[in-house]
Amino acid sequence: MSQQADYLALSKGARMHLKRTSDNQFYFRTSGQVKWIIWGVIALVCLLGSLLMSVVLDGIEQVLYIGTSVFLIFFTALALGVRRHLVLDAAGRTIQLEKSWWGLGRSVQSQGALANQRAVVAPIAELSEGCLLEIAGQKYTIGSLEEARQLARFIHQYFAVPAFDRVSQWPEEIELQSQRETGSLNDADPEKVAHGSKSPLADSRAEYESSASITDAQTKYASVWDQRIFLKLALPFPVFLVLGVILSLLANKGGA
Amino acid sequence: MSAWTSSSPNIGKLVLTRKLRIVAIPFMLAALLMVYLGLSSEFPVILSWALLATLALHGLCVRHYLLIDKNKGTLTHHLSSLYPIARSELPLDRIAGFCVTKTFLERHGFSLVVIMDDGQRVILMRKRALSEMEEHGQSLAKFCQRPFKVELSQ
Repeated sequence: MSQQADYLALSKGARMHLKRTSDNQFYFRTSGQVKWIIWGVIALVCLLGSLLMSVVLDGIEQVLYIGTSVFLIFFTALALGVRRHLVLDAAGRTIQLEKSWWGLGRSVQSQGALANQRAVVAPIAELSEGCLLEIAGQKYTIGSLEEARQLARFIHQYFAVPAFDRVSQWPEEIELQSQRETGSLNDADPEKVAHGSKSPLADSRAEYESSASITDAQTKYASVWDQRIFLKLALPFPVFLVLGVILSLLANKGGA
Repeated sequence: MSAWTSSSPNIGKLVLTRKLRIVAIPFMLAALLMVYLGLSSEFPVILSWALLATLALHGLCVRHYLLIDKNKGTLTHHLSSLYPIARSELPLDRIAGFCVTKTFLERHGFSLVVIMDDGQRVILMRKRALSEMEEHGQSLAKFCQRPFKVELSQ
């Protein structure tokens, strides 16, 4: 399977983050660039309003809005053009930060060897499901566990970056296998190497997990906050409405 | 605000509602005052009184706690006022660990989440302060002998 075919076989979520240029370089957008893009989009919205105003109004106000439109055009072009790409260089075996502006003035800064980086598949703990990929201090939300694992395996296969999985045995990071194998027991976590007594626990847990997934049905654990609390809390409200009507009738009848 | 007590080596309880009772007292006094002064028959007045009374009732009678019972091997999350409202039981041996993350779609709020063996996330507390969540998470994790981690996705 060629790199092209493997890349196209990646999920949409993965390909949204790991992009490919025309000459087969792979890169990620960094969070620095995303911040500039956010400012650029805000300025674009303001620019549209300002342009409309400069067309519709007359006189000194028109001049004012033309001025702000010009300023916003410059700022939007500046902000939306900032490129901070994390390039995976397979040939030089390094990870590079490439800075450019709309593709002009590229400056490349090496961030270290690819073998020193780690690609970790981690759970998005805020949501009930979903996984992200952590690499070089950046976090990219990919989608399901299988999609994130597929991306990690792709990076491991073509760029020789050690890949880890923090989802199957949270919070321990186990090495991701390059083929599909369930119940991987190859632990690369240094804590596990030091405390030998912990590995029988992991063995039994992994075995329990693989056998349990075959025999048991998936028990869904419901959190308290998913159990329609508001309805149950609102139950006394009609009771108090009726009570309030009765009390008000008593008060009026009593007065009169 | 909340206290972690361990009544026996196998039972630990995290109570979460002490301040709320104090806050509910003025509501109850206001509702009683409105009745004493005479409720007028206009609908908005009765509506607001009913709302006030409901709030006071729930505020005074609410019980919200996390109970860890090692004898039964469960973590119970119990929420009730006069009548039971919600309850969730998690088996202790299927818990992989406790985690503090940012609450989804909230800017300044953190959640305490239990991560189970099969990767399921069960939310214990939503939208609270980071220091409080870390403190509760540490005491829960130490009692259950499970790992505790802060997992932020930004």
